[in-house]
Amino acid sequence: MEMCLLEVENLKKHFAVDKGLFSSSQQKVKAIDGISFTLRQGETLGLVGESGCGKSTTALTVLRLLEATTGEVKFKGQDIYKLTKKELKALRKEMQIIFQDPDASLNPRQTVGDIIGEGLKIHNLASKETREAKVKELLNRVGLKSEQFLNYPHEFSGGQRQRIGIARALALEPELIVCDEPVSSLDVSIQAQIINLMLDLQKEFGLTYLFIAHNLNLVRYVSHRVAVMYLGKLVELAAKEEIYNNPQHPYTRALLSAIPIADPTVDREKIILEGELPSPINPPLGCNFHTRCPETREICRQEEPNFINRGAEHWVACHF
Amino acid sequence: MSKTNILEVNNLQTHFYTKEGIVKAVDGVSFEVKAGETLGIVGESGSGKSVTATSIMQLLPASAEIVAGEVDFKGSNLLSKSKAELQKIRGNEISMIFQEPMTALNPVYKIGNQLAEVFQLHQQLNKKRALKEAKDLLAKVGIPSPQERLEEYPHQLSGGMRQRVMIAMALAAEPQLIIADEPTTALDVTIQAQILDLLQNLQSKFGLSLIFITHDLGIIAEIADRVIVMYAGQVMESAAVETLFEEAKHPYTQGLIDSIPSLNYSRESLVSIKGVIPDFFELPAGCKFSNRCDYAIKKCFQEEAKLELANKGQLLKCWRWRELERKGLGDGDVLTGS
Repeated sequence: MEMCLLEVENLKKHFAVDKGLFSSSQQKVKAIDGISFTLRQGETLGLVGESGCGKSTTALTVLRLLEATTGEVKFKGQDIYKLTKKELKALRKEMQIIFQDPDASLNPRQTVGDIIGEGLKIHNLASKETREAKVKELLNRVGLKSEQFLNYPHEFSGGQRQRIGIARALALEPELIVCDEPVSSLDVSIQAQIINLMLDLQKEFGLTYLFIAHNLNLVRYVSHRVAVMYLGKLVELAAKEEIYNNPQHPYTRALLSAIPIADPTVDREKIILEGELPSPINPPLGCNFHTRCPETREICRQEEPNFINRGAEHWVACHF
Repeated sequence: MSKTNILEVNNLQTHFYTKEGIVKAVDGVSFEVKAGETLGIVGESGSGKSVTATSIMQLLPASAEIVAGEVDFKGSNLLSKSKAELQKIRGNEISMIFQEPMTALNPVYKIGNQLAEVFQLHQQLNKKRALKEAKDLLAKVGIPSPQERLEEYPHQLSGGMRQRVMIAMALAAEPQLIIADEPTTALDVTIQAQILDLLQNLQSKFGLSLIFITHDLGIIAEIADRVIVMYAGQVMESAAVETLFEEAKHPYTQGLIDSIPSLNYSRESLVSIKGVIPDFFELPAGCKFSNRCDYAIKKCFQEEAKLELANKGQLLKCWRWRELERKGLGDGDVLTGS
C-alpha cells in the first residue's frame, strides 16, 4: 500500500449568511458538507466541479488557510486542526498552494526575488546570500531568467506570473502542492507550457498535487485519480480511466458529455442537464442532485445516498 | 458580391491610437459569411477577434478607428452608412451577443423593460404589446416563468439565465446575422451545453447566420461550418471545419490544436507553442507568428506572406505551407516548443 500523505475525513465548512442587522435566524451556506478523500504520496488527485461547488473552499480548508467547521485533515498522520499555531507554521513548509489568478496572489509592490524568497526568510532557512542564489536557481528552473529577480510582477505576462507562483510554492521544497485552477486564466498555448512544467517538477521532486480545475480534459491529462464535486459534496471518486471510461454517477456522465470535443467528425448524443446549480443555502433534500438528475426516482428525493466503494476504489454517491 | 453571401468583409483595418503608439488590432482581415452558416473565429487573447466584431457593428471606442476596408452586408457597405442608417441595421438585421451579460445588460432596468425597448424602437409597438412580445421571447429561449422574469433585474438572474436574456434580446428584431462574442466563456460546462444547444436550435429554426467568436477549439468543432484562425490582428488560416481539424496547415493552427489536452491522452508531454503572445508593439517585422514558429526561416522574419488559396477552399498565410504539407507537419519531431 502506498503511503497516504493526506487524509481528509468528513470535512465541513459552513459560512453564516448575514440576513441583515435585525435578523435573528442565521442561515448557513454549506460550502463543503462532509467530504472525505485521501491523497497518496506522489500522485495527482484531480478535483472537478462547476463554480460554487466548493472546490476552492476545499483547497483552503485542507491547508487550514481557512478554518473548517468540523472534520479532520491528517497530513502524514497528524491532524492539522489539532496543531498549535507554532506547530502548524513548521508544517506549512511542506504544504504549499498555487492560486488561480497570479495577478491577485502576487504582491505588486514586492520584487519577484522577495516574493519567491519570502518563505525562506520566514522559516529562517537561508542567509541573504544563499537566499538570492536559491531564488535565481528557482527562477531558472521554472523557465524564467535569473537576472529577473529584481523585477516586479507587472513586468511579466500572465503565463510568466504563474511561473513565479510556482517558483514560490517550490521554494520551501514542499511535499504537497494544492493547485487551485492554476491555468484557467491563461491562453491555451500558454496553458500547455505551464502544465508541462508542473508535470516535470512533479517527476523531479516527487511532488503530490491536489489539482483543482473545472476543465475536465485538463484534469484527465494531469491526474492519476479524479474526484467529482457537486454542491459541497463528492459524488464520485475513482482512478482516472475509471471515471472517464466508466462514469457511474449521472452528474459525472452529464459533465463529461458537456465538454466540447475538438473533433468535428465526432457525433454524439449530449446529456443536457436542465436547470441550474441550486443555492447552497437551501440545498435540495435527499440527494442534492435530484433536481437536475435525468434519472431521479422517489428515493432520491427523500434519502441522501452514501458515498460507497463499488469495488476497485471506485466511490459513488448514488442510489442507483 | 456572391448571392449566397450575407456578409463580406474585405481588408478590414482597425487601429487604436494609444499613448505608446498605433495598435493595429485588426490588420487587413477578409472573410465572408454565407446565409444560414456559422462562421467560427478562433484565436487567443489579443488576436483581434472581438475588435473584428465590434468593427463590423461599428461599436468601437473613441480611441479606435476603421482606417480601411469594406463591410458589405447584403450588398451595401456598412462603413459608408450614416449613423441613422446604421441604427436601423444594428439590432434589426445584425445583432450581437456579448461575453459577459452582466456588463451588457443595464443593471438598473427591469429585464422586461430592456427587452420591450427593442420592440418599441425597431417595430414601433406600444409598451403593452412590446412587453407581451418580450414575454413570448423569454419563453422561446427557455426561461421558466417568463412573466415573473419581466419584473426582475439582471442581478437576480444566474449567469446562464442572463445569457438567455441576451440571446432573447439579440433575437428580438428577427435579425439575419448574429455575432456572438465568447457567449459561453463565463459559464459552467453544463450551462454552456444548454446555451450552445439553444443557439443551434434557434439558428436552424430561423435560418440565421452566425459569427461565433471563441478561444475554445472544442466549441468551434461542434458549432462552426467554417473557421478563421486569427493571430495578432490577421487571418492566419481559414477552412471548412472538418478540413481545419484534419489538415491544418499553418504552424500556429497546428500548435493550437496540439495544445488541447483532450487529443493527447498520453501523459508524456503536452505539445505547446513556444514563447509568449507578443505585445502589439513587439511584433516581428515579417510574419507576425515568426518569433514563435518552429519552422520560421530567414524570409519569414523579413517579409509577410499573403493569404493564399490551397485546395478545398483553405486559405493560408504562411511562406512554407507547401513545403510543410509535403513533409507532413505535426508528425514526429515537429512543433516541440517549451
